[in-house]
Amino acid sequence: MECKAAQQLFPYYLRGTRELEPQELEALEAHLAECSACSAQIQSEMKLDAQLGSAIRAVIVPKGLRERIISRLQLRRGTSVRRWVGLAGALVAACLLIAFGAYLVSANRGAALPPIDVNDLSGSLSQARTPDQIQEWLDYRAPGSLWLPGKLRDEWDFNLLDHYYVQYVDGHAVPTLVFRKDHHRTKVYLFQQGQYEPSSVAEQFRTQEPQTPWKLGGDGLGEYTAVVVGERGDWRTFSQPAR
Amino acid sequence: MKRAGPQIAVAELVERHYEMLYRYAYRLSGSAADAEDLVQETFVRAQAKLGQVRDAERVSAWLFSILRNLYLQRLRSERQAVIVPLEDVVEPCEEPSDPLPEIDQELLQAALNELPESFRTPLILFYFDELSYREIAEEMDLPIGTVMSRLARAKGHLRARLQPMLAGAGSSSGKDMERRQHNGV
Repeated sequence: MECKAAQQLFPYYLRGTRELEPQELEALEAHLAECSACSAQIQSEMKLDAQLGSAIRAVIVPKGLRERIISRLQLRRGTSVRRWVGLAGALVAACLLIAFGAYLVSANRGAALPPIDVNDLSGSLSQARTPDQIQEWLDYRAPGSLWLPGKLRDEWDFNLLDHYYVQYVDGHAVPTLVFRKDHHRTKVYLFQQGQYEPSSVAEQFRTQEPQTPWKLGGDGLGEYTAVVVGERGDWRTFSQPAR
Repeated sequence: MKRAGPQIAVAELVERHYEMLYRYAYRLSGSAADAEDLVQETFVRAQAKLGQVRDAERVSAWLFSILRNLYLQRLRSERQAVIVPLEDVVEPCEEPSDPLPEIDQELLQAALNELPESFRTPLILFYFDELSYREIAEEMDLPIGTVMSRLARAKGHLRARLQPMLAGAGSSSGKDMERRQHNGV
């Protein structure tokens, strides 16, 4: 084997020989055994790959990530199941109501019909990702210590809530809500004041308020901070009251 | 071809792949917060499409592909965004199990961030050693020669940026390697 042919196989040899045919591997190794220049070159490349590969893979995985992934998957599945159960329940209730109404009409033609509580009926259609569901999630994670700020609960359109999770900031669990509208995405980090507030966030308040981040204030339960991360100007569209 | 399908539980997928996906996402995005977000979203998508898995041996490639597509979608939508650099304060909090290599991690990530995504992705996938050249080429919808060329150029870039820390390794230049690969692969 010539040096040029051997060098063309180097990239495959660097993958630990598994991408070479046995006869190619045999020929290349025979060449390396007798060509000191090629041998030195491949040794150097292997050393570089070992160093770079080791460094690139040396990313520290955050503690609790696996649990947070599982938790989010379970929540999503639970929400989905609840949505279908709620919908099925509403349909059954609606069918029974219609049947009962038809019976009343046929049995008591002319008599006054009982009032239908439309609110009660629509209330059985459980909606995914309501502020209350988010609060349940917060209660489940940390009973009594995390709450959804009133301003966020009242003024943001939770129909646009894409997902939510707990993010770790300097080791502190920070509930994070991600709203999505069209191609835009806005993250809301909820920092409990007194528990934790990164100094960099405080600095951003001073320089960038009122655009972003957005400080929500207090709501009787205590002070809190919501940091809105998104496109300047666009995040306001996420905070339009749900209609 | 091994059938996987419904017998793959999503919890098993998470257990086997979340660490590797997180490392990949971190190197791709350069941000711990975005990496976690991407990994979580990847498993949500994977859960919804689990029934489509036909080849258990290609689950890694499938998950990498979902994650990269999510990353590219976000990259497109955030290209004009003004982002508060909150991620700067996000620190991973698990102690490393192995001593970190000598290469400075910040410099390494900065060098990776300087690369266009189309060069960064094959490099990261190469060093994660999960996918073959052919699988990387399929993932990126590129000819294998193009993948290897980009890989060589990306390595050359890292070598140039990290040279003082790479004592004695990779003495040939990236262009030399690229030329060799252009010639024959």
